[in-house]
Amino acid sequence: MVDWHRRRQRSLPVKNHLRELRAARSWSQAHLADQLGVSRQTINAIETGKYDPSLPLAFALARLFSQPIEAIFDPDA
Amino acid sequence: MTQNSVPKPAAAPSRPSRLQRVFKENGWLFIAVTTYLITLYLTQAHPEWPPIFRVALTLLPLLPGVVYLRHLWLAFKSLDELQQRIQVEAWGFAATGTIIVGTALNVLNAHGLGLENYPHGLEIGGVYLTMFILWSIGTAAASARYR
Repeated sequence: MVDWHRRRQRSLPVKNHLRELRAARSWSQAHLADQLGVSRQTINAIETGKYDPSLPLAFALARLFSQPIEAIFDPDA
Repeated sequence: MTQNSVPKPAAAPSRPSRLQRVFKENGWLFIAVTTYLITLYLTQAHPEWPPIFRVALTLLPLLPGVVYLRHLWLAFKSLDELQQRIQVEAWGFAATGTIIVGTALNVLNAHGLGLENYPHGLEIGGVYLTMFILWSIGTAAASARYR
């Protein structure tokens, strides 16, 4: 039972600071999506924590915001 | 025409209508179904034709079917990663649901409790229809989950 609970906790989405970073640049979700070549729904799902991006997309985000990945995604938050 | 004449701006490409898009995306499916209906008629109308020819004729709709599947695969690859995940979840839901429904019907038939309209289980048309319905539900549900 405890293992199941831990496993479930581990599968929770990683928190991220994408919304704050985007807002700091006054970018819309659609603008960010265009720059990354994904849909606006993908950006929204990442921001709301409903979807964790793939590693290539996470690196693309880090490159775009000139931040290390750990500064955008925080697994301990 | 002089060399200094201003070139005319290129006309904006006209966007295909919804009907045109649907036909373009599902054209090979339409061809596969049409081929199936024609070959079905021919094989039933001409039982005297050589068996090898009738087998080849019966399997002919598979060719446009495979082209349609390749078209679907290319369309899938062109989606972004979230849309791909939604489609994987929807197809998984559709496949699992169809297996459950088909197995349930076969088990009911085996125990003499089969439904009158499904004496041989789902059959091929029923499988496609069930998968399509479940895929639609799965796509809607998965899209709502990530909205």
